[in-house]
Amino acid sequence: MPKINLLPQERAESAARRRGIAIGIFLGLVYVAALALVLFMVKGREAAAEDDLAAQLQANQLLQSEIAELQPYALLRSEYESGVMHVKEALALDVAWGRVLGDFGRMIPQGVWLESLAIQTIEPTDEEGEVGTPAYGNISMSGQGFEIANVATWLVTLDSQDWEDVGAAWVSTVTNSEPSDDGMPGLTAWAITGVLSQDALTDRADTLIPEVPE
Amino acid sequence: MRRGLVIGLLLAVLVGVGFYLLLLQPVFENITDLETQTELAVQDESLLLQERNRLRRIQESELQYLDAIGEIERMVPPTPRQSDLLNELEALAVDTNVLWSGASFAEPSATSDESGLREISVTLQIEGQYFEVLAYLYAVQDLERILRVDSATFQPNEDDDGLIQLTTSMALVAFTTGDVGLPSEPAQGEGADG
Repeated sequence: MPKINLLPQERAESAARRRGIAIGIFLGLVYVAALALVLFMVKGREAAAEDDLAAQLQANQLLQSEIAELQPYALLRSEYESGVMHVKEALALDVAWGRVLGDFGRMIPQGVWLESLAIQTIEPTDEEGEVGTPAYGNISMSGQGFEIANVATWLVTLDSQDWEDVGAAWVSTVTNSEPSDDGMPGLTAWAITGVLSQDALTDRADTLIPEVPE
Repeated sequence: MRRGLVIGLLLAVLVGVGFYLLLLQPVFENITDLETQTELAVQDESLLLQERNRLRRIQESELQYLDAIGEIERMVPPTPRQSDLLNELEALAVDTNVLWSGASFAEPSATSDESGLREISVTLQIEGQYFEVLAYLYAVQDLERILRVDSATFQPNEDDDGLIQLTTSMALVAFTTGDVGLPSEPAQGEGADG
């Protein structure tokens, strides 16, 4: 059996409108509540990030204050490093003089002898020494020999691979003298120049510098 | 009814966009900024930890450091200590049996602007037999104070007994970090009686 609405049509429309407005207000409130919830959650993340940063900064500050308390030890280290630098600078061009002079005495061949020997250290240059390395010192020497062959042997010895401290030997002058009337044989005067190689340097800086834990 | 629904949806979209732009976006930006700052602070912490641990290790090895610094100061003293140098050179000559003819000393001069190291140039003449001069050269480099020989000339001569003596002239360098200084003046009024 069909329902018969005896109320006026306007009343039904008004009721439907009111219902629609109520539903609209309800949905609006739900929407606003959802937005507020999202904002609340995001703000929570922001607060957590702020807390993390504050905690991290506090930890850093604590470390910084510890470091500030340990500053005297930083100065101690810096004093040590400065001393090490001084030793290294002082011994940058330190020739093993005892060994070099000893080698001259040991290596000089029979038939020649030295009358003067001068050695001077120099800052390394591009000038090539015996093994193609820069020169660390200049050598000039003069002496006598019985004959030119002895001088040539001396020259070969100076350039020999067995004697790495010196090299680039060069005879600048060689002069033969006649035998004297009183029976002295004729001699050959010579002058030779050369260079000191890096092998002539000591490793004193490495051995002298006391080691400390870093 | 349908028009009200459309208007409501449009309003919701508008409010949503406004909410995002005005409220959410600044917060998101702030969070990103905070996280970046935290990351940087974490990196700083790592560096600070390294530095603190390094300093603690130095603290634990303080005695070794003090010994090492003392040892280095004996090699390169903080004052010229010329009297010690004279005594040491004299002692060397006696020990190695060479005749020390004389020496000249230059005042300390800076090697470079930065390091603070100063050189004391010494020109020295000695005379002795080959092995004595050799011993002297070895001994010079065995001293506790660093002495560097920069040049040497050797000249053999025969003495009255027929022995070969090497006349040797050497340019040595000693080092210091201090300069020749006058005694510091007493403070004004100090030592004045009444």
